[in-house]
Amino acid sequence: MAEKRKFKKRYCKYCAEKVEFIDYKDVDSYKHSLSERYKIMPRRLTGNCKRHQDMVADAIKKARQIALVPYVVDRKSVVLTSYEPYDKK
Amino acid sequence: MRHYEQVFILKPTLTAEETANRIEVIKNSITNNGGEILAFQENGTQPLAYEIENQKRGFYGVIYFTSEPSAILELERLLRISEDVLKFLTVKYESKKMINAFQKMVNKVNGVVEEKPEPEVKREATEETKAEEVPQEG
Repeated sequence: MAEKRKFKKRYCKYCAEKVEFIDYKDVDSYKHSLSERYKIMPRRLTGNCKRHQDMVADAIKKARQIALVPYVVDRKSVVLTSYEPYDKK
Repeated sequence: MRHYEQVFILKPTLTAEETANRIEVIKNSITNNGGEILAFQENGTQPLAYEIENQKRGFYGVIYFTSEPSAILELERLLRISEDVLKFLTVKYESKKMINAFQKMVNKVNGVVEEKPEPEVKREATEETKAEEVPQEG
């Protein structure tokens, strides 16, 4: 009962905006689905629906391949690469 | 013809001329194999999320194009053997929804305006006028 919830209101943000497609190059659009260590957050915490969660997971996995999102964040990589969003110039 | 998107990361140590040359080579391999380039986006040197070949930064480029599936083999072979390409990713857009999103991205790069930003401007304007009016009344 005393368990703290990270997100209070849980609804699918993508359904609210009627998103049809999530671009993996736009990191800000799925940033709230990533944890501090850049793991994919589960559906029970973000409130994403199944359909959009699949799209988010797909986008994140593509972004990891092309080095927009790190695979792992440990002590070494935290110090070495301070991660910045893709569109920041 | 299918819709594809090619992302590649070039070494940040190259000069501006060299990067332009590498991009030309990639573009030529698409057009020579019967493809058509719809848009090209240059995202400049950016920090990588993890080190690749001891590089912490990389030059990002995105090409949107249509071509036959057989041309992709040749393109990927070229990218794989060139030493200046750190990483690349080819994405295929197949379903109708994805192709719609693809077209939107292409239009955005080419600067074709579809959206109507007028209502937002009006709202801001009205808010400003209201904000100005309030202190006058007070």
